[in-house]
Parts: sequence; C-alpha cells; structure tokens
Amino acid sequence: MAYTFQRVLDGKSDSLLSTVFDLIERIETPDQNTVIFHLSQPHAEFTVLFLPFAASIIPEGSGETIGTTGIGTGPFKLEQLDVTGTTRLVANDAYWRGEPGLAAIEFVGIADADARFQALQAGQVDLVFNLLLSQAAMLQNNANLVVQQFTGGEWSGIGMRTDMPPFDDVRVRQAMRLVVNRRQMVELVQQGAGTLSCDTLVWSSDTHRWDGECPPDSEQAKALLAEAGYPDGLDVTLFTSNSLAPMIPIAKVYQQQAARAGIRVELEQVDPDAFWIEAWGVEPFFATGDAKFPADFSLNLYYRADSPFNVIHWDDAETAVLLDAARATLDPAERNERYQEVQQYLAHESGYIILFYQDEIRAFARNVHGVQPLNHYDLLWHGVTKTEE
Amino acid sequence: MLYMIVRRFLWSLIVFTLVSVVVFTLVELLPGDAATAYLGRNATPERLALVRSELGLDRPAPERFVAWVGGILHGDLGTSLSQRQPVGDLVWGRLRNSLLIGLIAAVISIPLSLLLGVIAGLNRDRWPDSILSIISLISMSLPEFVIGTLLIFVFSLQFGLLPAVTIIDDTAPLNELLPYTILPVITLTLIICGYLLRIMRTSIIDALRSEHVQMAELKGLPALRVVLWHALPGALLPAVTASALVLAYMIGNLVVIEAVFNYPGLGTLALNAIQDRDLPLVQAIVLVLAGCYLLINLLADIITFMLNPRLRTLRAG
Repeated sequence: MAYTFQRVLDGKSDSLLSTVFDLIERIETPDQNTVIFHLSQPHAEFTVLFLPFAASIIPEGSGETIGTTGIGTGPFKLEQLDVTGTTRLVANDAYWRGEPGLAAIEFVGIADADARFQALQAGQVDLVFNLLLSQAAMLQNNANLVVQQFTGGEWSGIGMRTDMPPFDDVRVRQAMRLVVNRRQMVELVQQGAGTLSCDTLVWSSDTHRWDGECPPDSEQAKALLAEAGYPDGLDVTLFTSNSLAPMIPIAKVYQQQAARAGIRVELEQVDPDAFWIEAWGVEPFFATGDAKFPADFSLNLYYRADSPFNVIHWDDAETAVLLDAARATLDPAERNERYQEVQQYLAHESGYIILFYQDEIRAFARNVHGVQPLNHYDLLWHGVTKTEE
Repeated sequence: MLYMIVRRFLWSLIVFTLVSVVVFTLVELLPGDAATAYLGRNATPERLALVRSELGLDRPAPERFVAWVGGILHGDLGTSLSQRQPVGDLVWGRLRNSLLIGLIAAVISIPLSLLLGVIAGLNRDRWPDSILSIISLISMSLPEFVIGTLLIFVFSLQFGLLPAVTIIDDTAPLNELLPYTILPVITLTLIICGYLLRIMRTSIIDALRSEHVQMAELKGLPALRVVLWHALPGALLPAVTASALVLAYMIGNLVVIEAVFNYPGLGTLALNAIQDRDLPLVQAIVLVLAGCYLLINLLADIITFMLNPRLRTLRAG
C-alpha cells in the first residue's frame, strides 16, 4: 500500500492522479496490518480517493510489470492476457470478500460491434458491454437475454477556457450555458438515453451530487451578452471531434440552440488523433467528456488550479476554499451540503457546460446472475454467478 | 517469356516501393503523430517526449523513412504501440489465417464459377442461365457484410449449426481454426463466383460465336467436343486473368468479412490497430496487403503469358 502511493507521489508511475494524491505528506507502516497517511489538510473522505481503478493497490516492486501481470487484490487472477483475443481470469479463492461465484471469466476482444452482438445472440458469449440503443431494441422480445440500461459512467459537455476571451468574462460563460435546452439535447444526441446534468460532473447516483436545474433562457442569455459588450451577439468556434461518440452531435445541436440567442457557432472538426493534444484545453471552446469518478475525486481533478486535467484553466481562490472546507467537514450531512454548495458555485461561475451522463446498455444471458447496474469497472465480479440452463 | 516475367517482377518491385513511400507519407500527413494518437488525452509533455523517443519520432522524417525501410528489408516491421510486441509477430500469424480462407475460397470458387459460367453461357437466355444470372447479380450487388450477417442469421442463430463469430487464439492450429472458416469462406465464395460467373458466361458466348468454333460445328463435330476442345481454351484466357484480378480485389472484401465474423486475420488486426491508433501496426498491415495485391497481379500476368501463345513465344528484343 505504502509502495503504491509512494510511487504515485514520486512521479515514477507518471500517474495523472498525482495531483489528487498531492495531499499525502508522508506514509508510515508501523506494523504488518497498519498504514498511516499523514495529510497536508484534513479530508473526511480520504479513502474515497482509492476507488477509481487507476488507484488500485499493487504489490511492492511490481510497478514496471503490473500492466501485464495484473496482480492485485481482486476476486480473479490473470491466467492469460491477449487484448485482441481471449484474456482468461481464474477465481482467486483467497479473495477477502469470499470465494468468487465463477470458476473463471474469459474476456473476448471482438472489434466489430455487430460481431459482438451476433456472438451474444448465438450464445458464444454470456455478456456484452456497451450495446447500441438500436441493438438493445432488437433484443426486446428475446427470452434468453436480459437487457440492462442504467445511468452509466460517461459525462459529455463543452469546456470554455476561463483565461481566454471571450470566456474570461463570467457573463459570457453564463450566457453560453443559458442557451442550452438540455432535454432536447439528450433527446437528439442520445435518443433520450441519458441523465441530465446542470453543469456538474458529479454522477447522478453520487450522494454528494447537486441536483440543480438549468432551464433554457435565451432572453436572459442575450441580456448577459449585451452587458458583456456583445449586443449584436457573439461569434465563437467550437472544436469537436469524433473521438468520443456524442461530441459531434452535441456540437451540432449546440450550434442550433445557441443561434436563438444570437450566438453564431462555427464548428471545427479535429482529427481524433490530434484532438486531445491540439484542441482540448488548448482552444478556447471545445467538446469534452470523461468517465465518472467519486465527487471529491472529480471536483479536485477538474477544478484545482494545478491539476493537469484543469483544461478550462480555472484559477479561483474561492473554489480552493470551498473544496478544502468540504473535505474538512466531519459531520456527514453538513459535508454533503458543502459539496453541493461547491458544485452550485462552479456550475454558475466556472467554464463547463456539462450536459448529461450517458446511459450504459448491456445484455447478458438469462442464466447469468448478480450483474449489478454498475459500470464495468465498478462491477463486483465476485458476486456474479452462472447457473445451468 | 522469361524476359517479360522479370520485367513485370521489377515493375512490381517499383510499385511496391512507391506504395511504401505513399503509406509512410500518408501517415506523416495525418494530424498529430503516432505518439499523440496513442496517448490521447492522457498525454503530458513528458509522456509525449518518452513515447516519441521510444519510437524515434524525434528524428527527421526522411531519416525515419530510411530506418523503416531498412528494418523491413531485415524483416523488422517495427513495434506495435498498443501491444508492445514486434509487429512482425502479430502480422505473420494473422496473414496465415487470412491466406487460409483466401485460398480455400479461391480453390472452391474458381472451378465452380468457371463451370457454372460455361453452363450459363451454353444455355444462354434459357432458364439455367436466368437462374444463375439472378443469383450472381444478387451476390455481386449485396455488400459482403450483409451476406455475412444473413449467413450468421441462418446457420448460427436459426439452426445453430455453425459458430457465429470466431472466438479462438490467432495462433490456434489449423484444424481447430477450420470450423470457423466455413462461413467466411462461403461468403467470399459467393462474391467471387458472382463476378467470375458473369465473366466466364460472356467469354463462352463470345467464343461460341467465333469463326473457328462455328467451323468446328459445321464440320459436324459432337457438341461436347466443340465446347471442350474449341470454345473453352479461348474462353478461359480472359476468365483466368479476371480470376486473379477478382482475387486481388477480394483483399478489400476480406477485411470486412473478417470483421463481421471476428475472424483472427489481417482484417480484424487492421480494425483493432485503427481503433487503437496503433500507427506502426497500421503501416505494416497496409504494406503487407499491398504486397499480396501485387503478388496476385504478378501471378495473373504470368498465367496470361503462359496461356497466350502469342505472348508465350515472344522473345526478348
């Protein structure tokens, strides 16, 4: 444990999480079963930061090889790794939660979405992740397969660089948010398969999520723009890419919706190979999206001034104060309020238009049990079982 | 004739060199580079520098081209970014699997389509011709992924006779791989037959109209003898040449067919490499596919030389 985090802090793992774990000052291991973290600031939910899979605990000295051995503390042991073929995991009977329900799991790499779907229908595989909506619809009357649809782990939105004109003016940023009709956006982009977000990147099932509402108001947006010195509307260029599936549809819908408030959006499509380096966080206005993380984790990853993920270049003393205060609050109810407060503040002030969380759809054979409606990297695999037909 | 073959071979080498220049230049022209493509949003300046130096991307393009070509000449195709393995190890096994379905399909479809083409040609505008023409038009006009999906629907989902997609190691022994080749081979055969049957039919019809065949008929030779001895040799020439060209053209279809059946050949490897933005691997696959294409074309030319008496007797100078 000490090795894992020391490695992150030393920068040896080259981990992008190092800013999140910056608050660790010193790690002590007084005996075999105890680890003491000395933090630079109080953090009531420190252990929540361990949840993302990128922060998994690895054996001492395994930093260089962990990518191919996969030795950890999970319910299954890696037997064979073949990313484009079949990767086989066998049960770890010494798993701390108890013996896993399956003897082995095989992950089969099938590059083509239709081929995956065929394999599922033919019974060659028991479970397929990330089905398309159209495929799920075709399984409606299939008695052998269960379709599971739930709020998944990916959010989608648009980022504005708060250090560059015209978005260095908070009134402009607010106007850009106010023009969005989120309900229509999710209908058009996701065929309704998504959960609305009012500019918070905290997941809808997270206890700390702020459930704000963002009704569209183009009159108010126009007024704000006029106040900011753009009485005749505004010309902006939105950089987008097909790097993430919803990015281009979002940009197109946004272009239409923004036109109602006199904002003329020009779309610039960047090749996915170059998008993340040349446009994302570089240009003033860009499409974005990411996986879900626990509230404290994502808020600190995206809004701390010194984080590499602070692509909107948000440098705000008030945010740091609010984030520190939330962490330091011991009373759970009060802490929850603090986290909501910081989200509300960020939604109003900062540079993100966060539109929705995409639904995730998967299907599995009826004799597979215990598959919870959670992201594939959050699934508790030891509880999954398979019965005879 | 040898002179002609050597000349064609040299031409193929020149074309292959040009292809390698084009492939390299196209990858160079892509926005970003292999490092930005591979790292995506996880790129930090340090990581970019690390991957670039690992790949030698910090050197100028002409120098890299020379190093790349030099590597290829020594059998070293580079290192895959996503799988951290020599590209050669990944490509050769997959090439074997692709060749397997390609060869089986060729062995079945060429004689079959020639035979069916003759039947259609001899029965011109009668019912066997109409039925064969309709079938070949359908198999030609349906995209390969539609045919593949239909076959999966019938043979795997409805009757459960054959596996829908391939779930097996790419290095599996041939006998284990064979059951998985059946549906891809049928798909490929249908498409090849569609084209070749039409060509053979036209050739036979033309040959039957030719003067020497009509002469043979007028001499009162038996119909079978006329067809086998007089019409067929002349009709075969364009058909065999066309077969080779159709086979070369099928390389593109093979990529799609492999994807539909998740068959572990070069096509699915290419699909994975493109999805992973693994440019060294993409470069190598394109080059290997281009090499196959040129090789088949060369074979086609050699066969044409051998079948055509005029070319066969042509001497150098």
